[in-house]
Amino acid sequence: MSDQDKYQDPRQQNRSLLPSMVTGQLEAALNRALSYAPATKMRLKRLAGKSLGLKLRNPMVEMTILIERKGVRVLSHLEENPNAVIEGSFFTVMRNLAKETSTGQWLASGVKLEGDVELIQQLSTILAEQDFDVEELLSELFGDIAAHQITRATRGAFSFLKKAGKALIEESGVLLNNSEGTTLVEKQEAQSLFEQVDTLRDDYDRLEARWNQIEAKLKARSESNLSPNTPTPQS
Amino acid sequence: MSEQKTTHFGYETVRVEDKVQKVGEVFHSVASSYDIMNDLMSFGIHRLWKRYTIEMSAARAGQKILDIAGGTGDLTMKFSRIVGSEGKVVLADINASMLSVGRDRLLDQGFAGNIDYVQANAESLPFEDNTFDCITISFGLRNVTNKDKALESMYRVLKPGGRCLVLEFSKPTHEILEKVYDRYSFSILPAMGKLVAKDADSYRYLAESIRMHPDQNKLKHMMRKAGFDKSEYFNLTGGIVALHRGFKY
Repeated sequence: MSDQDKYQDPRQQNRSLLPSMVTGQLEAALNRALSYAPATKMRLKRLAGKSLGLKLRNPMVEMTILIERKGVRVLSHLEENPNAVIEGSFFTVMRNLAKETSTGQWLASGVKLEGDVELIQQLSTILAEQDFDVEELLSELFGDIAAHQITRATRGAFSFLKKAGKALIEESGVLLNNSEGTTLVEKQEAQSLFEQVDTLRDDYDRLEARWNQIEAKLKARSESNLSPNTPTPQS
Repeated sequence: MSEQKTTHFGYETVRVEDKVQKVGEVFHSVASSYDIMNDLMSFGIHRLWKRYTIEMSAARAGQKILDIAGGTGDLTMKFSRIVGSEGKVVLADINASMLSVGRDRLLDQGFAGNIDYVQANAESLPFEDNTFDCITISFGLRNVTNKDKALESMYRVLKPGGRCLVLEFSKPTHEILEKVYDRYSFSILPAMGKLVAKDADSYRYLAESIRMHPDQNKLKHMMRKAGFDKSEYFNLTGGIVALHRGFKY
């Protein structure tokens, strides 16, 4: 029997539209931002035809960015392998993308690189040199999506962590240098702080999963107590 | 007395030769408010269904793409940007009113140079064999009188290695969703049509035509019968809509 003859169970063929929603928003935002950064757009044009895969955690998002002559396309689905792939926590990847980061620095930050590493290097250089605020742009976009993924009860706590992380990025310049240009906080110290925020987020995710598990168990127990087979006290 | 061939027009049984005219009347009537109704009816989700279709098309710069029943040009607009000046998009629709609204809209938004507009019946596409890299028909197949003939025609004009994508309303995969969807389709949808498009009957036809359309596995089989290889489908929004994909090898 050929593959074509096989009956497909309709329930097995369900696809989520969330990735398309994320990539659609991001694509629009990136192209809008590029329209205000003609120099960056021009430099990106030289890389037209190249693709970059992103496998991010916290929030978990996978996508491919295709560089085209007139801008970028962001896809949740790509049939061929991208030229390069970056895999790591959202927070770290965005931070590295927003500044000129060497391959060694990428790897030291716990991010995995695959494929054409030079492409990643070129992109990082372009985005850093041209003051294209990709970090701010993506933080805002994915912050909103992440907020949808968590329960209402825990939203406040997550929001606090998100804001704390964002504030750290924004204030890192103040932390590192004062107005006279002298270093107040060593770069390594700041790096360590960023990593701790990542760890805190991971811990929070585990806590949330554990909480959901306990909640589900309690619910199952209370339902079994209410089932018709359970003896009830006689009035 | 000779037996007359019939087909369905929503829940109504009509003569085959009358269906084209009746469907034509529906779309002449709704053409001017088609976009706003799509947004209202689907709560804007139709944009995500179409975006998913674009992603699955794997369209690239320089390709030739046929957008059948392209209506007001949602997919054509996106394809036009992707294929660029070296490529070509053909927006085809059997209905002159829809084609006219689509052409005006695209021109108004600055899309020109790589788009052709063709008034054509999907059952007999006026193109040479092996012309297009990708063919899409979005929310159009259920209005075609002879769907098998249309699929065969699409297969003929598709290049070897090309793909055909059929985005269409389908059958919800969960019973509860199906009940809610039925209630929405037959009560709220016509009322919305009356209010916005001043045409409840056309939107009643829309709901009926969706129910009469082949379900996921039936359409997959029809695509295979027309010659498509590796035909498969992907349910979107719980099967309210399905994207079918088939290749020509």
